[in-house]
Amino acid sequence: MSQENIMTINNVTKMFGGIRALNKVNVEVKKGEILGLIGPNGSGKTTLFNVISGFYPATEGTIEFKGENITNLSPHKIARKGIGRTFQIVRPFGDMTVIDNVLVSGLFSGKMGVKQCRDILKTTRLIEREGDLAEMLNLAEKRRLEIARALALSPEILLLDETMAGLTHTEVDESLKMISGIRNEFGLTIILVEHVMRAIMAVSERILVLSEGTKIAEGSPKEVSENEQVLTAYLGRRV
Amino acid sequence: MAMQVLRTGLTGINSLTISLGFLTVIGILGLTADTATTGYLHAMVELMILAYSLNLFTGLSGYANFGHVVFYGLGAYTVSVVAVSLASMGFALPTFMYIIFAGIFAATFALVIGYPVLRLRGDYFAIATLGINEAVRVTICNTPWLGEGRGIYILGLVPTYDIKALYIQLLVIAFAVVITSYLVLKTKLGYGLRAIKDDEDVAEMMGVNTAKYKRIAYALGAFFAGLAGGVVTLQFACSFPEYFFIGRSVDMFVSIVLGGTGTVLGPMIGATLYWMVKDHLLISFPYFHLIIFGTILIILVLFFPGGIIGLLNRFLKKKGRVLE
Amino acid sequence: MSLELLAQTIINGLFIGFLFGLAGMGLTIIFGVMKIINFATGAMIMLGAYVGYWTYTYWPYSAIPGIIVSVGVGFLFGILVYQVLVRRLIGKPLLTTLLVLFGLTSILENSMLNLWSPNPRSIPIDFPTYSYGLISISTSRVFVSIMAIVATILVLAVFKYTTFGRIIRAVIQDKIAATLMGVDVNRVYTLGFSLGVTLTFLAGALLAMVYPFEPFGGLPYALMAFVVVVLGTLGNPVGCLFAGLIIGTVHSFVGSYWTLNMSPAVAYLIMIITFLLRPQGLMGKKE
Repeated sequence: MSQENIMTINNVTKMFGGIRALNKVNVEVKKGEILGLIGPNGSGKTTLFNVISGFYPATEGTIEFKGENITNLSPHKIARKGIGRTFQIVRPFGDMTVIDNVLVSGLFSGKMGVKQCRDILKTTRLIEREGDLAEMLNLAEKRRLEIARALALSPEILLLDETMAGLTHTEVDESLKMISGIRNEFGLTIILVEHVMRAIMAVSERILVLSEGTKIAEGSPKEVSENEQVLTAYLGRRV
Repeated sequence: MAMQVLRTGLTGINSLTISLGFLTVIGILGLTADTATTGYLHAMVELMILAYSLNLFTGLSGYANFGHVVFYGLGAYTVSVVAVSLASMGFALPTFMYIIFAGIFAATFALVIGYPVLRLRGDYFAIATLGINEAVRVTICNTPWLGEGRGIYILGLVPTYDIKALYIQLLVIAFAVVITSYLVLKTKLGYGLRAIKDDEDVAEMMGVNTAKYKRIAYALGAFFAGLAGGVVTLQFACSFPEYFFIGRSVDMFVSIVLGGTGTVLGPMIGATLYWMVKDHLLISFPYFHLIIFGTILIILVLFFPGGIIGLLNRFLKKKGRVLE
Repeated sequence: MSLELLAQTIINGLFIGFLFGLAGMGLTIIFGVMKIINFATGAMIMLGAYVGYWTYTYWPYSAIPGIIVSVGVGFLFGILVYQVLVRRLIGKPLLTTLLVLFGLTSILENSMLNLWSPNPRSIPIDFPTYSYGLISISTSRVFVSIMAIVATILVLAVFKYTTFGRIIRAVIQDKIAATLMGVDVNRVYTLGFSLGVTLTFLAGALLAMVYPFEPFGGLPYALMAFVVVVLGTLGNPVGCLFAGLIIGTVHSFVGSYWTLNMSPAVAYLIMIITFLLRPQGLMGKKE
């Protein structure tokens, strides 16, 4: 695997009023890797995703994507440049059919038509439901739909925000298989926020730990799981 | 590319053909009938155009534009102001030119006002549009060269025409707005707007330039409402401040909700039914018609949110077809 | 400009400002509690005025009974409207809410037209007017302002010191948490909505003593109330009162130095500028 950086997050800080949601976060994302992002509730994982996708402007710092500064561009421009995402609380376009959901990002990234969007539905095992309204899907299907929708942007980086929360044991296994499959098929870089530890440890090549908005550790799953600071952050005491 | 017509999902019954066919029938009826019937149908087609123009933006994007009537009123005033100015220089244009001016002015106004107003969402947007309409009306009522409360008369300042000639121009606009609605719904623009209606933030993060698409649809709706306003000034040879009456917005809203918001066929069915019912109620219950409309509107919105198209689709879907 | 005119303008502005503030407070409480804008505010203000007027025709000695009856009817009417309509709107799309309340407005306006005719009415109570030099102060306006201030203080006291008020504030802050704490949200909504409608009726009843009114005359007042709510930040009653006074003063200045007809246009202009500069309202905190 090449060690070339696809995205560099430099000193990103995000303030909400007086609250520091992200504190000088630095991350180098390598092309083609699966990077796991963990941390206790409220540690800033979703905020980091929101800053990367342009939904929140960064208070300080810059984000570079393929050598280009994308800090504070409008979200739609960032999406079109090739950064797709899913949402922690699923947000499909409920009144649109499954295929139309995917077609929105396909059309607006200008990269995919009806046929390619159908192919994505096949990969995400949703093709049988293409004509149903998105709100009629079950949770696991909605989460897959969000992945499909992000894939239709034909992204280079995919930000997955707790795509396994609330899924059954079997569904988690299927989801893991799909994520690795997608990475290989589309040659993607994936950043993944997850609370299901078993899942994130299994699939990530590198893990980054946030606590109260600050990066406290970074390394292989094994290194991170043995890191004292991480254990303290998670368990609230030294173990 | 942007005009690529997309077909997905269930086989749509061709709503465009039905709408255009229905409009042709109404057109022929109006042209062959006596003047009173033509007048009745004229008003109905005008409501149709207004309903479609509201549907283009509000029906698709979900933004409650209660002040939509402002574009109708501005279109009406554009015609009289242009007519008066040209007449003072000693010449006049073919009537359709005045109508086009009306559409262009309304659309331009929408583009300008859209800049700030479309940044607002939800309740704030609804309040602001009501405010803009009222502000424009009040300003006209206090501006001497716009006729203040009396209106601007253009009798003798534009070429003469009969009601049938005007009706033909109205029909042309109606055909145009139906076709435009179909194209918008079935192309990229429509997909963007429907995504905005469902979840604007997500739409933006899926690559939709939400600000741009809202502005395009807003101006497009304003353009057609402006055209309708232009026709009304020619019809009565005058533009009055009453054209900004909020009740006209209510008419449009009831029409699209009755027919089915965000559809191609809905505004036509809704406007036709509403016009016939309203006329009937006005005659039968002159003192209670607003009570009856209000009640109908509430029942429709609460219990039949998809309107008539929504009801029909419940049955059609079982047969694997839908109306759009 | 003469000093007297200036003083007179400010005094008149504050009078009407209290009324705008009151109507705005009715709107803002409903919004704070259930995130619904009462689009039927205009018709409800007029209904409040008519109830006050009606009482007065039966007992034409004092203005007080009309106000009391209007407040009482407003409260019951609020409960009725909540139970029949508004209850069904919670969690529905915005367009649904707006259209239902639009429908309600049509029903109310037409009913008022049938009950009281389209002719403008007013409550012809003979209040004395005192003059100091060129400045004149009508006691009816003073009375109206005092009533508005009393009502505001009462509402704020209820919010601050009663259990009901604490519960309402809890619901405004965090509905889910409040539900988990055992708050009966449906009951809070009913009472919150009725309280808002009561204030709206009160604004109408007070207005009737100063200005003539008619069945379809509610819209300009409703728009003023919307402006006030926007300036004062949705969901903030105290902000509303201040915004009411600001808008009342602006209204009065436009009337004195330009023409009263233009006052709504100026108010909307202020609203639109506010929207642009501070979408969170003048009194709101920045995110």
